[in-house]
Amino acid sequence: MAISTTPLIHLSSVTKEYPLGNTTVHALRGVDLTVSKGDFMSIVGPSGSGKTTLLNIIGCIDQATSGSVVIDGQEITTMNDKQITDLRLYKIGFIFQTFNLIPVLNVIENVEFPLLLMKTFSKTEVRSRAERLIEAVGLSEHSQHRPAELSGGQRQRVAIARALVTQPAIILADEPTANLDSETGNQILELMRDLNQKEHTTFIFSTHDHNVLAYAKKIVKIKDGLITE
Amino acid sequence: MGLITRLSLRNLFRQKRRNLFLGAAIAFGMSILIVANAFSHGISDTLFNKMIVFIAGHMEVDVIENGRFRTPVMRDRAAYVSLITSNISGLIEIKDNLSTTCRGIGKGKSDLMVIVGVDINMNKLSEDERNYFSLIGGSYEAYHDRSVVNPIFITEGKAKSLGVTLNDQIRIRLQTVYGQSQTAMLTVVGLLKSKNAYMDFAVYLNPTDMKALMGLRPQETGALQLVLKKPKSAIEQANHLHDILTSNIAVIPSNIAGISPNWVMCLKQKHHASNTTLNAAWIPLDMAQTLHLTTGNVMSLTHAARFERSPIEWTLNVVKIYDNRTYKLPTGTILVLDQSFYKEYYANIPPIIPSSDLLWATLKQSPFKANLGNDFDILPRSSTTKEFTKRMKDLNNEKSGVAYIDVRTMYETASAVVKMEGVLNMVTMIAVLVLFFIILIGVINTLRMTIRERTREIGTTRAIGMQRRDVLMTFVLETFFLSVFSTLSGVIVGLLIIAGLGAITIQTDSFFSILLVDKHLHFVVNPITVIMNLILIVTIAVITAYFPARRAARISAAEALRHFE
Repeated sequence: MAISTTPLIHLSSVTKEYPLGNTTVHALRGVDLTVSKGDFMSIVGPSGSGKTTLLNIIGCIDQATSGSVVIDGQEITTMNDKQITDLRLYKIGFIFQTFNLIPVLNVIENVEFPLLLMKTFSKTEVRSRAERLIEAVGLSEHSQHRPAELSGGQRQRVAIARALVTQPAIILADEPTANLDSETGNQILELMRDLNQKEHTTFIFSTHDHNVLAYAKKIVKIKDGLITE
Repeated sequence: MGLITRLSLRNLFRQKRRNLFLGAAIAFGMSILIVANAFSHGISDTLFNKMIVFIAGHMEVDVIENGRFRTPVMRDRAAYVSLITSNISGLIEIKDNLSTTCRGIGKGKSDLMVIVGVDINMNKLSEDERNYFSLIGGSYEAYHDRSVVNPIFITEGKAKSLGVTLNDQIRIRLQTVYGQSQTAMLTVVGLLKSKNAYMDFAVYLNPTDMKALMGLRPQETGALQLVLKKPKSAIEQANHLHDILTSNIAVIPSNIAGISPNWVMCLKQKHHASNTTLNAAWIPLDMAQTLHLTTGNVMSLTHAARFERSPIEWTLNVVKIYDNRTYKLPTGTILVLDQSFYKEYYANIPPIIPSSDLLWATLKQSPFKANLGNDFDILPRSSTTKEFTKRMKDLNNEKSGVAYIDVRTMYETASAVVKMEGVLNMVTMIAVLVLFFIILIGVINTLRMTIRERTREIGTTRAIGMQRRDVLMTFVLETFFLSVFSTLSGVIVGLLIIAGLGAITIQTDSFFSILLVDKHLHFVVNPITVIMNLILIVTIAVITAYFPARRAARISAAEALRHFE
C-alpha cells in the first residue's frame, strides 16, 4: 500500500503563551509544521523546550494562542469544545508518559473505553476489537487485570492498545518510554514502529532520549519554543 | 450497564473509607429522620385518630341552650345528622357526644371522672375500638343489661383511684341538660385495661342510660362529633357547614278555639321594656276583641310538637294588646317574650313549617320582623382557642334563652394537642435541616477531594474523547448512588430503631403517658413520607454534587493532565 503524502497535520505560525504569575511564558513562538499520513516522527528537545505543548496543540487538548492548526483538513481553532472532543475521539490516539490508564477499569475495559464513548459499535464488536488489540500488544493473558496489577511496560502496551482501538489517523505519544527501562522502552518502540509499518498509522512522539531517535523516520528538533530543524 | 454508570459505581467503591464515612453520616441522618417522622406520625395518629377523635371528634356541632356550653343539647338529632351527611364530605362517622364530668364516690375514695355514653357492641366496633375496649374482667353482655343499674366499664386505673372492683357501685352527682342536679348510682360491670392516661379519665355507660342520666329524650342528643377521613380538612369542612346553616324566625303553630290561623312568635326582650311575668304575651287587637281579652288576662292555647303525639297546652299571660296595622305580622300572631318563648319552643320543638307557606312571605314584609327571635342563632367560627373560650364564657351573659349553634374543630378545642404535633413536626424539620447540612458539607468536601485526586484522570478521559457532560454525569451519578445506598441503609436502620424502641415497655403516669399506646411508644411509618424523604435527600445530594462536578467537567484537558497531587 502506498503511503499518502497529503499533509495530515498543518501548523502555521502557532504560538502558545501561558500566564505564570505576573509574567508570561512563551511556550511556542511561531511554529510551522507539516506532518504527512504514515509519518513516524519524533519531536526532540531539552526539557521545557515546548515538546509537550506542541503535542498538546496537535492533539487538540490545548489551544494555540495564535496561528492556524489544521488536522485532517479541519481548522480546529474555529471549533467548539464538543467538536474538538469528537475530533480527539475519532482521529487521535494518545499514549502518555505515565500511561494514564483508568485504575477502576481492567485491561480490556480500558481498551474498550474510547469505543464505548463513540456509541457506534455493538457490544460484541467493541469486545472483539479490544481483544484483537490486546492480543496484538501481547496482553491476552492479562485482559482481566487492573492497571495496578501490571508492570510499567504492560501498562504502556495497554495504553497503546487503547490509542489504536479506534483506528485513529494520528497517534501522539508524549515521552512514551520515559518511565520504562531501556529494554521495555525498546520493545514499546518496536511495537509502535511495527504498527506504523503494518497499519500506516501516523505516530508523533516526543522524547529527549537520543536512543529513541534511532527508531524515528523523521525528527523535528525544538528549542525555546521554536523548531530548529 | 452503561460506561458512565460502571465508572461511577467503581469509583464509588474506590474511596471506600471516605465514602463509607459520608454514607454513614447520611444513613444516620436518614434513620433519625425516619424515626422522628414515624414518632411524629405516631403522635398524630394517637392525637387525631385516638385521643381527639375519642374526646371531641375532628369536628363537633353543638347546640347550646341558656349558656350551658358544657352540657349542650340537640333537640332534633335526626335533622342535624341529615344536614351533616348531605353537606360534609369524607365523613367516616358521626358520634353522639354524650358525656358529662362529675365526681364519683367509690369505696372510701372519690375522684373526678367523665362519664361517656358509648355503645360498646363488639359486632359493630372497628378493630381499633375493639382493642380499646378489651376487657380484663366482667362481660360485654352486662353492659347492656337493663336489669343492672347504670352498668359501666371502667379502666383498672380509674377503678384503683376509686377503690372499686367488679360489681361495686359508684355514687355520682351530676347536672342534667336542664341544669338540675341529680344523684345516681353506677354499677361496675367491666374492667378495661388502661392503655394510656387519658383513657383513665373516663368511665363508659351505654347511651340509653346515659341519656336518661342527662335528662335527654330519645330524639335528643348531647352534641354530634364528626370523624373525618382527612382530619386536616376539618376547618374547611366546618366553615362550609357554618356557611350553610341558616336560621329562621321561630314560629310555633298553635290552636285557639275559634281563631285560625294562629301563630306564636318570639319577641326579643332587649328591644322592649323588661317584663318578668312568666309567659308574658302580646296579642293582636282583633284577637283580643274576638276572645274578649285585655291586659292581665290569662289565655290558653294548644300546639303540636314534632316528637309528641298529643297537643301541648300552654297558658299565656296577656301583658299587651298591639295594633297589627303597624306591625303587619301574619294574622293571629301572638308574641311571647323571649325567655318564656324559648323555654316552650325547645322543650317541645314544633313541627316544621314548609318554606312555601304564606307565613314566611308575610313575615318578610313585616317592619317588625327585626324584633322577632330566631329558632337558633349561629355563633361565628372561632379561629383560636382563646377566641373559642371567650365566646363560650360570653354565652353565660346571654339571657334571651335562644339556643346557639357552634360548629367547631379540634383546632379550636384541642389546640394544645394540635400544638404538640406542631412541635414534633418542628423537631423533625430540625432533623431534616441538620441532615441537609451534613449532606451539603459532606458531599461538597468529598467531591472536592475526589476531584482534586482525579484531576489527571479527568484530563485523560477528556483527552481520549469523553465529553464534558459525561464527566459531569460520572460525578453526579457517583453521588446519586452514594446517597441512594446511604438513604436506603438509613431507612433500614431507622426501621430497626423503631422496632427496638417500640418494644420497650414504659411505665409512667406522667402527662407524657398520653403519647403511649399500650405502654409503648407508638410509631407510624408512612411509606409515602419515607419515599418523599428519600427522594428529597437524594435530590439535595445530587444538586449539591452538580456544582463541583460541573467545575470538574470544565477543567481544560491540558491543565488536568499537567496536574500533580
